Amino acid sequence: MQGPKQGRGTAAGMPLKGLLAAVVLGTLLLPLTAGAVQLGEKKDGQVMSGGTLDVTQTLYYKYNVFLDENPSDDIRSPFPFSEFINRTQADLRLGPFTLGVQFDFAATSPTCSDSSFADKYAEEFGADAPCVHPNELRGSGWSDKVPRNALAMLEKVYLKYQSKYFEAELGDFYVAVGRGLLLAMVRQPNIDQDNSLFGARFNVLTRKVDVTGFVGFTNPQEISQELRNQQIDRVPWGLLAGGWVNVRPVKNLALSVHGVGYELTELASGAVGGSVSVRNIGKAVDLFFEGNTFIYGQDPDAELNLPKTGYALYGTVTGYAGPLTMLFEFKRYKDAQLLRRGGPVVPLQYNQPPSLEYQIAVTEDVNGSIVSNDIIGGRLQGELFFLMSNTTLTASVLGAVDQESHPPFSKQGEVTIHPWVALDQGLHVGKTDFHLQAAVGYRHDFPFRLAPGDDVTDEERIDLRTEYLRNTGLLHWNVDFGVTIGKHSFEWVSYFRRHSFTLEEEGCWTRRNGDETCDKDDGWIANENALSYTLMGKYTVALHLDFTDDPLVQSLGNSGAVGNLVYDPWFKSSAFIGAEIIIKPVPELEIYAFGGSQKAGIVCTGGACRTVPAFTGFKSKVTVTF
Amino acid sequence: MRLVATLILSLLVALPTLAVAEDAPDAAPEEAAKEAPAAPQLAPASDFTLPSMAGDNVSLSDVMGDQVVVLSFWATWCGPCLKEMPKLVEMQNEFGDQVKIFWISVDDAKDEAKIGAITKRFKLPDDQVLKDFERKVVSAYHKRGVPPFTVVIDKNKLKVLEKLGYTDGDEKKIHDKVAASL
Repeated sequence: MQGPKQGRGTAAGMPLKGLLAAVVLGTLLLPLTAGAVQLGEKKDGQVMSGGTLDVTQTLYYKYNVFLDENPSDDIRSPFPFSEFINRTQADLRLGPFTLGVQFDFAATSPTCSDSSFADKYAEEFGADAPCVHPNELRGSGWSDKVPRNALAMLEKVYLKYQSKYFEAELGDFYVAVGRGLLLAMVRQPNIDQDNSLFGARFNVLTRKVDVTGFVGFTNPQEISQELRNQQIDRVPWGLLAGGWVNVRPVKNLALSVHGVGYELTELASGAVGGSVSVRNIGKAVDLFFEGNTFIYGQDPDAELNLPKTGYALYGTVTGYAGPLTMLFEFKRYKDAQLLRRGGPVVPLQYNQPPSLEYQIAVTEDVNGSIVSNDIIGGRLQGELFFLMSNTTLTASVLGAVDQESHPPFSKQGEVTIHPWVALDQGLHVGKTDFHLQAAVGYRHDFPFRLAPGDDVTDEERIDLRTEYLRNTGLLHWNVDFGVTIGKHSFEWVSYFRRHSFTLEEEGCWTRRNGDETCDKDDGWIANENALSYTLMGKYTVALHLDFTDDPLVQSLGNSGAVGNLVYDPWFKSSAFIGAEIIIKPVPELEIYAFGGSQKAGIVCTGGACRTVPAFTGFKSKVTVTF
Repeated sequence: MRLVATLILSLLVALPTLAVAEDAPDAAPEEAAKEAPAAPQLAPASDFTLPSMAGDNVSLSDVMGDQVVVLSFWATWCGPCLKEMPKLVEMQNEFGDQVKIFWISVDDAKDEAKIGAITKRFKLPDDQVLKDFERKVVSAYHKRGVPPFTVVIDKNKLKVLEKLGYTDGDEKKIHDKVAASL
């Protein structure tokens, strides 16, 4: 993905046509959008019949300047660039009807179509060098970079009818069936995906019975234009249809049957299942169980087909007595997560069954426990909560047997044991509030050789023994400590992960820092720290210090992903230091600035977390929402 | 620089037109009200029906108008949400029947067991913990849809407070708005 070397960040010419058009458009729209406009009459302050227009207008302006991460090499940093995004989301409510749209307009500057920038580029690299945009403008779902400086997209459109007992939707809608074992097409801000279906849906909601039916095409998009690192391609639309019936014959008992048909390729597949929920047994126990069967379409002419069938079982037992809550979850998934489609970074997955795994322990190396097609496991969690002292103590242990290989990270089966404990403590002293959330755990994967079969040949078994058969350990802890005095708030957030591999036999490899290593152990450390101060309602300043020697984390993160800034994939630094400030002079305006270096991954500040690509330099952003 | 200047100028021109959708002010003093243009119009709360942890369907319209309603959008993975939760429980206990707080989970369906455990931990009433796994309600109330997000609805069915995020002490702002709406 590394393109021609790019020029050092000097003032580049900025073709303002597209960008100025965006600014003008946004400015023109501002007076027209007034949060919520009453279209109907008001009487004694109450909204009577009539309509409401809700418009959410979000404008981002971003300006990035890149520093040369490694001046000693001959790889130059990219040119600076600007980006402007105008997102309009409007809901028109007329009685029980809602008509909604989301319209995105994006522009960037400079691009190679701008003669002044092209001249600068040629001056730096020669007239024959193919020009490379400093910022690849890419609409969500676009499979190719857009060699333009502006684009406009109608991302969502829907018409809803809503009453107390009946709902109907046309256009974009979301759907989750049961506990997500069959289907979960929803908006997921934490991974920047908006997986809607485009079609029709209805819900009948009564006291004893609910009935839902839907049919639609997949319509995924990234939520935020600024996080275009997820590689969601505009996949051929897949057709989905399904529904469920929920029945509550008596109090505390709920029964459900559900089914989904998938036509993602020329072969149709389907799944059916049901669940039972019993609550408050002896006022102390809740039970839940869900079972599903998958039937995959077969092509008689194909050499390789999906398995004919699969199944997914999941259940929970929750017991509670005074301050103690016990939760036991178990799962058995066999060929139940085969339906997925999309780019290599985040495949578009149609179902999201419960994984039982602790979030921080989900890494590139252990994702098999999350998406496995042959796994059985259980998790027991105990929780003690003392209201008087505002203390919560949690202990959990996960055990699982994963019999599916997950190359390239793992080519063997694993037995996983993962205990962790957590403390949540609040304390109020005078005018000062303290709050501590901390957790520590250790996950160990004991490998075992898979039997020869479809997945592993005899030759591969030999390779597995020498190359892949290894114990994997993951030590992790995280701390969130906050102190609030009046309007002043201080917070320290820290995550630590030490991932170790213990091989059965000695192996040799090159570490991230270039050292040659031969031993039976290798691994990586990742540590992220954020120290922030917030003056409530005004601003937040934060310092970040991150460290990693994880060979999978490039300095710019997800290097090679389309839409990312690919800069120096051989950058060897492991420490990332940065500072940021967020100013909110009014609730509708946010001014953000960051300077320094930022590791790829999840960043938490001021109580909010998000996934960001790595970065070195200075960037600023102005967001207006109203 | 021309671009930056243009943008800043655009924002300055536009800012006065901003409608105050978040953190709507309390009733203005009489004099100020005379001088100032009409107070920002409060938006009405839209009705919804969601399943509760008790198993029933709950409609906002069942209680809206009779009680002050607080919608607290939260998730099991959201640390600030769990900080806010006991504060809101205290508020529910303090105001009793005058106020109805709904804790609306925007988790994934796969996390329902965790929701149940947290419901038990904080002694939340099952019929006030609602499941918005498809994000249909949170997206209607806030386009970003990231918790914690709190809405206070007065007896006129108007949204008098919409607050994104939570840091220690924010509950006072919610408390004051609820008290003023009684």
